[in-house]
Formats: sequence, structure tokens, C-alpha cells
Amino acid sequence: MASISIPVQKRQSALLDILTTVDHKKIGLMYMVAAFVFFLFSGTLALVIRLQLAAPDMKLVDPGLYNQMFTMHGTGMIFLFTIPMLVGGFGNYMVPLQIGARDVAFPRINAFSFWLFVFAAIVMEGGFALGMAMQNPNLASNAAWTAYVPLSTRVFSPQAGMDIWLFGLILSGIASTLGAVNFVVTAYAMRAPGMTTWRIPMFTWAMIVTAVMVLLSTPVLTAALAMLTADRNFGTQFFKSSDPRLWQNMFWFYSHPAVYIMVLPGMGIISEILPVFSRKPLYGTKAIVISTILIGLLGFTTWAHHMFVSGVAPEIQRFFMFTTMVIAVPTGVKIFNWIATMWKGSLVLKTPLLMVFGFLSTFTVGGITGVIQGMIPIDTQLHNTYWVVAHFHYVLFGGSVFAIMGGFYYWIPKMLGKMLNDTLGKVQFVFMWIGFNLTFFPMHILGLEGMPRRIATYAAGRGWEIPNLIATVGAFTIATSVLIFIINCLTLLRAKPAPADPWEGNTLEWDTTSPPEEYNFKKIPVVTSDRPLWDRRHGAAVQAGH
Amino acid sequence: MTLPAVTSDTINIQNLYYLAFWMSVVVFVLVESLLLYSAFAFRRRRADEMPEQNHGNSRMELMWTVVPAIVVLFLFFISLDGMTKLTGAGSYAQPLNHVHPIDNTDAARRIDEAKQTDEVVTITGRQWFWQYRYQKEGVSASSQVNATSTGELMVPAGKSVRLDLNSTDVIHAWFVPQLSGMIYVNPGERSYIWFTAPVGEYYGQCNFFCGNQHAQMISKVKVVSQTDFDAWVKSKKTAQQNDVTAQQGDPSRGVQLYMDGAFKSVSAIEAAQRDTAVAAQTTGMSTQEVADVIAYLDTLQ
Repeated sequence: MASISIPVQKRQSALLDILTTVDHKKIGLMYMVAAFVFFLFSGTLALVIRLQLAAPDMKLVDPGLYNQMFTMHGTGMIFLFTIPMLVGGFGNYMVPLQIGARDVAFPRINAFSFWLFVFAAIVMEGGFALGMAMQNPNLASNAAWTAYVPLSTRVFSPQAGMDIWLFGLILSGIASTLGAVNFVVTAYAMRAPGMTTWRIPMFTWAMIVTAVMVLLSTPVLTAALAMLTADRNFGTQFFKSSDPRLWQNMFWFYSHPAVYIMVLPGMGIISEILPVFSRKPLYGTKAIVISTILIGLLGFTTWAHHMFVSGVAPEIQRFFMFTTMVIAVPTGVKIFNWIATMWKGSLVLKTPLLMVFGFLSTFTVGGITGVIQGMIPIDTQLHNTYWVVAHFHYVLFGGSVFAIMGGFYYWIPKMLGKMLNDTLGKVQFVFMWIGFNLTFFPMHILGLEGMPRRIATYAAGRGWEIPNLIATVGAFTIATSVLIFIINCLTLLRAKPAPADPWEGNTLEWDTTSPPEEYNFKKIPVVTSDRPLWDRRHGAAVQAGH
Repeated sequence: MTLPAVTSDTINIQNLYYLAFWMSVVVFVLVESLLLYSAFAFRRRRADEMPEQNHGNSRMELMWTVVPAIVVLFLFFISLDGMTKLTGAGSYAQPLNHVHPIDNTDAARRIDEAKQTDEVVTITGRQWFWQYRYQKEGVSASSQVNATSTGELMVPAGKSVRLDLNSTDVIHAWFVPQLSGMIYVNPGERSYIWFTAPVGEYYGQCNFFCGNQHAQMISKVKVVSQTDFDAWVKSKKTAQQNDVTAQQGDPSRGVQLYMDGAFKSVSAIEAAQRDTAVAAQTTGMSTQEVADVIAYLDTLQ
């Protein structure tokens, strides 16, 4: 069997290698490390927020700083953790491996996009961190991640921190858009021979739809941010004289699809782990792919459900209520197909599958509460209350963080060539699942009792004390689970090496060494089904037995 | 919505919520029990166990596409119906936000009924309090507790009350959960809330993040009998006549100051509306003069 000869590279210092590499695997890992740092940072802010709300009339942080903190918690978790972790991290590392390619289509753009993201993150978090260190309240934004006009205009937010924050977000938007171009071209043009449309692995499918969504939506937010920057600094009047909902429309035209940008890759991870740990094919592969595409399309038609009580016309409200209801259907299809995948399977209850259970059990709640909230009369009572905070954490923690954790336990053996400790993983899962539900379930009740989100404190006697205290206890339980994960990562230093295929995987990333060599595959594999490695392990007979 | 609903709107919303809630419980229990059952029933018992390789079943998949679709469509239509039952909130751009009078005569009738108000209060949202002005009675109050105000919005019980809401600075939202749904209070627009409530005290607060002291922008509504309300109005009038230091702006004096160029820019006006004292310092006017200009500008809205 002939293999192509690979020129031996001169050894470089590690630092120079990090700075100059264009290898999708190294860039992917760098994204993951950077995103995880921002996860810890934004999570710490959440702990301070929860301490401040643990009891009524707390004065742990003053309102100005509190507002900065939840602004940075939201922006950090969305733009610096979830999206870069899933798209930049897992997407970068896994898409070329899953499609049997040696790298992404534009490796240098990939590196540029990463370093632009790092710079953007330093600008965004730097303003806030510097302001904290110097006790200067003017270096950070405090207008919430939604930065609604006119609160975010120069009149009401005169501080430089608002411009710093806007600049950082604009840069991260550009980085994100560049990355998306790369994924679309890579998945379109660089698939191994034989990998037809229906043989593309589920995570790669999710990344394709995600990347298209990023391409179509992110520039709208970047434009809105640039317009606001111009209004603040160069005397333009984009938002000054317009309908007060102009910013809201532009913002949510990105930010609602952004929810699916954060959830679809997670769903992709679930669709990878489930069949492997059930020793069964994914139930209704085509239905899963079509529902992914439908979620991507419908995701662009629901944004104004964030504006039901902002004074939009009833005709428009009805349209958006309809689309909001309808998008639950493809999501439901996925959930039932996933359950059917496990049905009569042979389940290995190791940490990756437990994290999948974490995803399914919590994301379902987020889906249900989304439908309830989409019903306009009910929304007039729930909009902007803690119910919303509960709902979107069930979607984004349930849908993204559990999937990310599942992805870590599933793919770290491949990426680092070492196995994470499964027992520690199980302990982490228990803490994370209980902590998550303790934190966010009581918030439904707070919302039903009319507690608005984004308030720095509350008076006693409105029935909000006990749910808030429970939520705070839950937040520290989540923090414990994250600590266990970090300890587990430290055990990697002395962990046993991982085999090329520790889980009996189906897809091409398991067809190479752990970790893969720089060129990924000695010989580009030829694909003959949607489970190439299964076929090799069990022969065509079992494959045909459906 | 765990708080007792006291108006027709909130009762309607609550009933809709309970229906959606119990339907959700069914879906929740179904999915979670399928998950739990799978985790216990289908554990791998032997390493070489080989389950049947089932790639899917179109009929099953069609079933769990169509059934959820019917459920959400049902929820969609009962929500549409629910919208026509609400007359509680609207905005200037769309005065009757949740109803469509053109193709719904029943809704149009209910709006006309709701418009026949016994009491109109103009409410101005400011960072970070609400100003209440009673048009008919000519008295005013504020959500801030101070010498002239106990911080409550007083309204008569059993009477149809309309709140005309506007904002002079950023977006606020009026939300007293037991009385109605919420509505944004947008600068440059007018939003409406209608309700008829029984005697009681109802708590709410600004429900749209509006800056530093957002949490302190409380709206407490005290619904009292007509007799008590009249007595309150009377005492309020006496107090206002006696209170010579009240910063009640005079629009007729304000117009002259404004025409003389009291404020150099729109942003200066906006700053003055936020903080009279600071504006007085920066412009060199007295606080009374600043209040006069603002009073004039308020008449323009």
C-alpha cells in the first residue's frame, strides 16, 4: 500500500509553533483552551451575581458593577465561550477529520480568524478587567448584552467602555464570519472520495448548517454595532431618528439565529455519541438532517418573538407566533429520533452518554418552556422575567454545555491521545445535573411571581427569597462540577494512552492515530457508507440487517 | 402567574397558562420517562451484545412529526383566540396592540368598552421612577417616596382605569403582574394599559433594563374605594397648594427660556430631563428654570 511521503518539518519552539501554526487541530485546541478560559471567567461572574441575589437587599456589589457583570457574563458566555468552543473548537478539530480531509480549505484564514477572536476577546474583557483593577466604572459596558438603543447611545451610556465593548464585538463578528466561510467551503469541496451527501457525519452536517447561519446572520449584527458606534462617535443618526425598534430588529435578526448557532453543533455532538454508545445506527438519519436544515431556516423567521410587548403590529405578532410554534416540530422530531436510537440498543453508560442524558433531559424542558412563552398572551406576563432566564439556560446550558461536556469526554481521547477518568466524569455529571436544575428550575417560579431579570437587588416580602437562595446553592454546585472537570483534565498528565478507537466509533476521525498526525490520514480513506468504521469492524452482513 | 389574578385580562392569561402548563407536563413526563426507561432497560449486559440494526421507520417518524405539529397548532389557535380577549395593553404605534378591530367586531366592541374610562393617569417613565399625573383631578404623584409622595399609584376600585404611558429617556416597561400584561414604554411613543381592579395593593416594577438603578424603579398600585380615592385627591390638592417649593415647571415661562437657547443640544435636554440639579449647574440656570423648560418640552410630546 503506497502512502505519500510527508516532508519532515524542522522542530520549532512551542511558542513559535502556537503563534504560526495553520494546522486545524492545533487551532481547534487553541480555540477550546481560550473559550474554556472565558467560560471560567464568565462563570465566576455568574457566581458573584448569584451571591448578590442570594438574599434580598444585598450590597455585595453596587448596581453599576452588577450591571457590568451580567453584561459581561452574557457576552462572554455567548461570544467568547459557546460559539468559539463549538464552532472554532470542535468544528475546527473534527470537521476535516470526519470528512477525511488533511486540513480546512483556507488554513491561513483559519489562523487569522483565531487570532482576531483572541484580540477581540482581549478588547472586550480587557476593558472590564482593567476597569475592575483600576476601580474605574467607565471602561466597561453596562447596558446588558442586548445593548438596546437608546440606553446604549452616548446620552445614556457616555462611558468609553461602551465603545470598547462594541469594538470587541465587531471584531469577534468578523472573526466568526471568516471562520464560517472556511467551514462551508471545507465541507463542500474537501470530502473524501465516496462521501456523498447522505454519508456526511451528523456533527459535520450540523456544522455546515451552523456555518451558513453564521454567514447570513452575523454581518447584520456587525452592521448594527458599526452603526451604533458611528452614532456614538461620528455624529450619524442611524438610530436617533428611527423607530425605537430598529436596533431590536437588527439585534434579534442575529441573536435569535445565534441560539441555533449555539445549539445545532451541540445537537450534532449528541447525534455522534448516541449511536456509538447504543451500538445502533442513528434512527432516521435523513429526518435528523432535514430537521437540522429546517431549524436553520426557521431560525431566521422567529426573531420578533423577542419583541411581542415592544409595540409591534398584531399582524406581525401573529406571524412570529406561528413560526415560533412551528420550530418546535423539527426539534421534537430530533428528540424522538434520539430516543428511538437508544430504544432496544445496547447502552454503555459511560460519561459521554450520561452527558447526552443531561442534554436530552434538560433541553426538553427548554423546548417546552419556549412554546409556552411563544404564546403571546402568556408572553405578556413572562417576557423579561426570570422565567426567560430559566428558559434560555435550559436551552443553552442544557443544549450547549452538556453537549460540550459530552464532546470533551468523547473526543479528548482522540484529540490528546489520553483517556479522561470515567468515574470522575460520572461524579462531575451528577454534580452538574443536580446543580443545573437547582439553579435554573426555581427561576421559572421567580418569573411567574413577576421577578424581572437584570435587577441588581430586590426587596424582601415578595416571595422571591427561597427560590433565589436555592438558585445560588445550585450555582455553586455547578461550580463544583466544573472544578471536578478541571481535576479530571489534570489527571490527563498521568493518564493511560488512548487507542485510535476507544469507543467503537463509526466515523473517520477514529480511523487515524490518537492524537492524529499533522497530515491526519496516511492515506485518504474511501467511504462506502455512513458508518465506514462499523462496516470494517462488523462486515457488511450486520450493516445489511435492517 | 402564581399570584392571584384580579382583572379579566390576567384571569384569561392565567387560564391559558394552566392549559399550556398541563399539556407541557404530559410531554415532559412522556420524554423523561422514556429516557429513564431506556437508561435502565437497554444497558449493555454482555460485551458482545449486538442489537438489531434499526435504521428508522417512516411511519413512526411521521407520527412524531404530525402529532407535535397538531399540538403546537392547537396552542397557536387558542393563543390567537386569547389575543382577541385581551384589551389590556397597547402602544401608540399600534394603539390596540393585542386586538385587531378591522376583522374582529367582537374585539372592536371590547376596545370601545375599555376606552370608556373613568380615570386616566398619564405616567412618565424616567430613570429611575414613574411620574403619575391625574388629568381630571389636576394632581400628580411619583413612584419615589418623598415629602409629597408615598410612592403609590392610587386608583379607584371597580372603575375602568387607563394608564397613558410615555418615557422621556430610555425604554422602560410597565408591569404589575396581577393587573395586566406588560408593555414597553418607548421614548417618543405612547403605550396604554387598561384595567378594572378590586381593592388591594399590587406590586410591580420596571420590567425593561433601563440603567443603573433599574431595580429601584418600583411601581406599586394601590386600588382603593372611590370615597378613599376622592379623599386622597383632596388631600393631595391641598398639599400641592401649600408646597411652594415643589419643582412644578411652568411651560409658559419655559417656552421663553427654550427659545432663548437655554439648551444647546438635544443631548443637553436629555441630560436635563434625567437630572435637573446637574443641568442647573452646567447651564447656570436655577433648578426652577430647568423645570420650566422641561415642563414646556413635555407639552410638546
